[in-house]
Amino acid sequence: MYNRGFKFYFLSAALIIVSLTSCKKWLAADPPLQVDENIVLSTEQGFKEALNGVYLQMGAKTLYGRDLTFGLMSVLGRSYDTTISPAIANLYYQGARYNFQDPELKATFKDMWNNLYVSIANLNNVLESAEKRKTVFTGNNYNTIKGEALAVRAFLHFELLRMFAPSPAAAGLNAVSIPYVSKISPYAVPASTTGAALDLCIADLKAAESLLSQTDMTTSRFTHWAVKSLLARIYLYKGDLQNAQTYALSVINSNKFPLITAVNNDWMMTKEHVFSLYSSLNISTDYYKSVLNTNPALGFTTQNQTALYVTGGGATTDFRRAFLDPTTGVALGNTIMPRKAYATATNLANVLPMIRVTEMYYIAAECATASLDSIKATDLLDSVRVHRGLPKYTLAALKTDSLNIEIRKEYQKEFLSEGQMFYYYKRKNLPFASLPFTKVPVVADASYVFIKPE
Amino acid sequence: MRQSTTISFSMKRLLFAFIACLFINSGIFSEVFAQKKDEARQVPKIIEKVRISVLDLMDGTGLDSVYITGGKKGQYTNEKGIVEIDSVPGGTMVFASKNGYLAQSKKVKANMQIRLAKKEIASAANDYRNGLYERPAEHFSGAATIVSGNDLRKINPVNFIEALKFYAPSFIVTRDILNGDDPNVTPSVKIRGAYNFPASATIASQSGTISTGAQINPSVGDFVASNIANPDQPVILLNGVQVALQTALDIDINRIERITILKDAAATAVYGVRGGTGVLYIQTKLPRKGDISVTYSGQVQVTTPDLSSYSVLNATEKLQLEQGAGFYTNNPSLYQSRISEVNKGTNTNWLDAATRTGAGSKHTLSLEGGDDDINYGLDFSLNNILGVMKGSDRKNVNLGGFISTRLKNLVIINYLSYLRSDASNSTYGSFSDYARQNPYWNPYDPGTGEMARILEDYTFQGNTVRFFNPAYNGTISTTDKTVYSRLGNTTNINWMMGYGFNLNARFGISKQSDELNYFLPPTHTAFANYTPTQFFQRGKYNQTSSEFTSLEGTLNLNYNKKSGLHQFYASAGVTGLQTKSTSAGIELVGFVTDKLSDLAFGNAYSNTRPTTGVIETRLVSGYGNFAYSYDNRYQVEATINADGSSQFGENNRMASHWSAGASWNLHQERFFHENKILNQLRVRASVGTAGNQFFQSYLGHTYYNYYTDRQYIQGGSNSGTRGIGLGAFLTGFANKNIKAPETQKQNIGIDAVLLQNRLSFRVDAYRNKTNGIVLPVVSPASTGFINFTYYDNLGAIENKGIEFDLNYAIIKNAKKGIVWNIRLNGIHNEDRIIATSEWLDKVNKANDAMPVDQTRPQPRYINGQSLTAIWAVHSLGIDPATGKEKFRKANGTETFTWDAADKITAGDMSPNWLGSFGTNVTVKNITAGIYFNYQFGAKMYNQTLADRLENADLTYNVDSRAAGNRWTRPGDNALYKPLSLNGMATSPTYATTRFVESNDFINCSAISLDYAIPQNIADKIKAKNARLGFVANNVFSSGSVKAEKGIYYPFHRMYSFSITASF
Repeated sequence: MYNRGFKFYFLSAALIIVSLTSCKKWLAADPPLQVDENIVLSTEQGFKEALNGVYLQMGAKTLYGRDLTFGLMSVLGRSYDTTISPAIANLYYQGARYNFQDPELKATFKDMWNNLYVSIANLNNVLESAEKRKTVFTGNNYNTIKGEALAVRAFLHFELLRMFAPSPAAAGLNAVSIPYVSKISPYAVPASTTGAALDLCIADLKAAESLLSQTDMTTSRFTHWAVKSLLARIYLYKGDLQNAQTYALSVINSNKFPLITAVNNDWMMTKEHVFSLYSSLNISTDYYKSVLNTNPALGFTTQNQTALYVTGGGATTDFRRAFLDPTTGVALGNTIMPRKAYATATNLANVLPMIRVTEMYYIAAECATASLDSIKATDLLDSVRVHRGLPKYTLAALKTDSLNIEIRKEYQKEFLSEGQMFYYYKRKNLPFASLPFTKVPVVADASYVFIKPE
Repeated sequence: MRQSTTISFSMKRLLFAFIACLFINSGIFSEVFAQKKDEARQVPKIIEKVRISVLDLMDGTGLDSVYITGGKKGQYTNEKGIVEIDSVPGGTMVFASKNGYLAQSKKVKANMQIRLAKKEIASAANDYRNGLYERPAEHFSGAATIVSGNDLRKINPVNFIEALKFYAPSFIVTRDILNGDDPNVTPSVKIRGAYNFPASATIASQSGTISTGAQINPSVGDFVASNIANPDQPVILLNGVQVALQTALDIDINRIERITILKDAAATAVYGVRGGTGVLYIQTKLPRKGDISVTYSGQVQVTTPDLSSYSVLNATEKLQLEQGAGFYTNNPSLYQSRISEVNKGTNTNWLDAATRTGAGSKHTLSLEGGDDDINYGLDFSLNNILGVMKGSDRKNVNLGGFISTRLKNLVIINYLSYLRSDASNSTYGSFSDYARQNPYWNPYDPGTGEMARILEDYTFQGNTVRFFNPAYNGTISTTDKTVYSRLGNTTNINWMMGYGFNLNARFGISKQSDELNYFLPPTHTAFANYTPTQFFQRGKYNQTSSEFTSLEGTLNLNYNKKSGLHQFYASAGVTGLQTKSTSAGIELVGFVTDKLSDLAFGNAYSNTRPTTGVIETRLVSGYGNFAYSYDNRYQVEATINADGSSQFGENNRMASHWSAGASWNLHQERFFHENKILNQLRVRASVGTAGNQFFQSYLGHTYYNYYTDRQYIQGGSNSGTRGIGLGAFLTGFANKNIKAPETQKQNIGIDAVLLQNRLSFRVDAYRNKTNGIVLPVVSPASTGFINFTYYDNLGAIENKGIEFDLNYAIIKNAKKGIVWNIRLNGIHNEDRIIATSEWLDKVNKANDAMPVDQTRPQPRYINGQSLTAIWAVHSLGIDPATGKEKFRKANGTETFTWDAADKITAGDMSPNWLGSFGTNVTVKNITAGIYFNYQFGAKMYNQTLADRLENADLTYNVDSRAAGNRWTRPGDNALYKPLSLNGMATSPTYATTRFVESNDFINCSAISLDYAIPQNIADKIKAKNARLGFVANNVFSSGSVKAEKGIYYPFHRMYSFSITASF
């Protein structure tokens, strides 16, 4: 009798435990046509795939695949001087006019805003999951994944800020900027001030800086050196020139990114990339053709090519002049020129530069100019010039005014159709009348601030 | 909240202990039996004195006069159930039998006990059964309506839904003005009121991403998908196993034994998360025991279209109207050609062009027989339903096999069923296309007499104008057909354990496979306006295959015990339910000729990938119910339930529900005894909760998808074989707290039977409040939730009302065989929104904006308002001076401009009262009845006045009222705006209170006549129970709104004749 009772309790207890645990598992049915987070993020490789997903998202047509690089952003940054007909390419026509109220332009801004924040949400999910699943990581990989996700999150927020908020030069640091979203949630985050958003970027990047390895020289992912470079860029934007210079010099003096002296048909100059984004070759060719080859054909006249590269402090020996090569266009049955983004056997046009080391020289030069160290500034500019087929400046110390002009010209020449010039003009809050190569008049109420969709 | 979780957990533990206990017990029993076998193997010897006591299996009382044989002669037990037999050889079998009990034999022992089980006596017709346990109606405190199959068949011999609403006003069937009586459209039904917002307002559509939470092209048998699409629909249980409403409609109505509608908390809390919207429990007939008998029932049903709501112009009138409106001012030659056509006598009645009188038939054959040990039945039915649109039909074939066997106290029942349904939709297209064709157009080619493709063809100002014949599409190889087959098996094992215990196990499995074939041939008028470059894109073929599998297992333990004046009932059980739904569809375009109508002849896929969906759901449900009755006078009962579902977020895996009820049988009180007026009077009340599982799946999961066409690696086309650059992106973010909405239910009711059982009266008042309705969360773009939506428990709806049912036997003369009954019932229900969300505000805003059709009133979901309110702008009528419509703005001023912001509630589509009345008379073997349903106090937007009168385009035919009452000159007090060639283009009429009308009606739902052939005549063909029947449905109706009904598909009138006989 005792025996039977014991058996009863033992069996019931066993049954309860087994059924409760198996029941919970049975009820957690995973969606069959999607992959549950628990499966994707159960391995280190899964975390990498989630980050790859973000890089692939960034390669979209309205993002870095086209419009944030050689597309719309280069139109805004005056990398082309073609007269664009509104009938052929309304988006670029309105872009050239800075007519941000145009519905098509507004729709593109909305797309950019939406998709950049989609990537941020993906990064936040990676960060939160990594915190919960520390055990799946081996070696230093937890730090790498976390650092990379934090850094890309800061990068994208800074991009949004540069597009959708007024620059500190125009509206100071207390203007309303963008929401800094550091947690995945369906509920709104209020917009920060420009200063606060920049500080959040800096905080994320500082955290990433200590997490990422200094020896990792991959350029297609966000590394320690990309973080440092981005910090230089952000400090400069914020007006903290001392920190900007420190970080810019730390990248230059690391000697990990030597400057090249000839392109060897690598027009993107991939060896000087600190951070670049891979785009699929087929896709980038499609995108390239959609703006540079077929209608609308954005391009540059030989006349302005000379004005940009030769006139003034330039020379015909500047090999960057060949960024604009009439023969490329001819080969494609068209007379347009920027060959940079056109892929050939040797030109890795699908490696889109996000940060190049030359920008560090220019940042450092700008900081030196501001602190009235003309010798240093001239020297930094000369270091680039000698690697570009140009002679050094005749003076060892240019005047402050000419330094500023030279820096701007160097930006223009160096980052042609890379989408960087717009940010330069915006950071400097340049009057629209002084924008170069203006073929269509800029609208009366033009602004450097993209229109937020919300 | 936290507290309830712990309760549910301890509940669950208790439950498992219970089940575990059962298993162990069964083990113990088998051990006991095994021991007995060992004893029997010993050497036989004479047992001097055998004392046998015979007891009732269930309550353990001694049974007298049991006939016992053992050894030589038979003997009877005494009043204590004991008998003693002398000198019996060991190994002899003792056989015990008693009338009303199942006989038993057992090996002899010196002191033995035999427990006899009562033969199953069909429990009283009005006993309450819910699919898990049963209680005598007098001991049940909840609200449930029970309707027998025989009663249903009196009203409608095809569709039980139409019949059920006659007996149960709380079973509300929405009259589908658009789809009419389309045999292939499942009606939408609900119990009492609304529990949810319509699916259109609760599911966020996301461009670019496929919805992963609800099946896209579900199988017709997919009850998960059909309940998401109709979130107020009750759970349908067919013999205790959940099925889709259409599956229940597909079975032969002749097989329905009875239907129980479970309404309040006391009835539905046992079903937990499935009980919120009520439960429809359908039981099918069990085969009769006895000699083999065969029953045949044949039926012919004739359906004719009911076009009485339509009134269109004839050829002459239409031409006159056009002429008057200046249609021919610039094109007099067209007028000439048309008038000559009219003069030739062309006056086509287009309403008849696509409709027909359908003569469907139904044959039911069943075979049954057996005894207490083995009982069997076979049934077969063929139901050929013909709709009133040409080519619209539905053919159902049902096959079923039933077998039950008894092993001692164990009864095993198995029912295997097969259903095949061939449902074709009319190839003629939508009926609305016919209602608008001009009567001076001839659908037939005058030369060939064949159906013409082009009705009219003329050139005007250099443009060719062509009108195509919709009826042409019906004569070519157009196909719109869904075929499905369903195989189902239900096994029931019932073990009368004795001592008041009864264990029941049920296992149901079903699998349904559907295939939809939809083909529009290249000459179909849908492609008539394709340009020459699109020539090879004409023709479209869509093939969708879907499948639905459901597995359901239930284990129930019941206990009842009567001790003096105390009666106890206890039941506990667990249910597990798993469903899987899959669907895959492809679409091809580019067919060259009508003849090549196979998928293989398509030129290309219209999408690069097939449309696919897979949804799996899982549910575990446990309940316990306890009821107690004291002296049949006072009853109390309580239910607890705990459910776990894959639909819930991981932080809310369990949902618990409860109910408590009490009833008082006043008629059992001493002061009511010996009373000639009052036979029965019961007062009942219940309160509790049940849940609502009908929302999208996987809302509690965060999930990813992979880029399938690119990798994040350098080089060429971003493809590589190593897969290191694969990229994943979020496609859904979990709400780990998502849970089922909960309905709090209150019910109070009175049942009375008066005047020597001639008058019965039942009234129930109720209030149901559903909280935590699952709605999308509005996420700004900066959250990154662009391609998917986060859902949360946000909205709330309350319904409350009162229902009654009155039945009176005017004549009840059993001797002469005359019975005359009348019945009146009704329900008053109010639905009210009590909590909305930001999402619903967004829906409201979108509904008021222009891309949404404003010519019809769009719903608004506003706190405190009814779900069925009609929102329209307050009209002050047609201004006599200008002929423009004058409106009152929200701020009280008058305006000529229609503005959605000025909308007011212009009435409610839900009636104040809705119900039925009817009477039937039986004189000897003839029964005749007439049954009506009614509603009053409802409003309706007269869409016909908007679409077919004021907004009408005179290019096509219009409502016959289009000519009159129009404003023509200043000073006219007109009802309608001035006539124009195209009202929608000149001055569109948007939702206006001017067209809101009272929607009261009385509809004669059935007239029936039944004749039982006298046995002496039936004997000549060796038949038994032979009957002849006639039922006419929807014969006439009288209503206050003059508007077209049955827009895409007309309503029908149905006349059916049937003959039934057993052999």
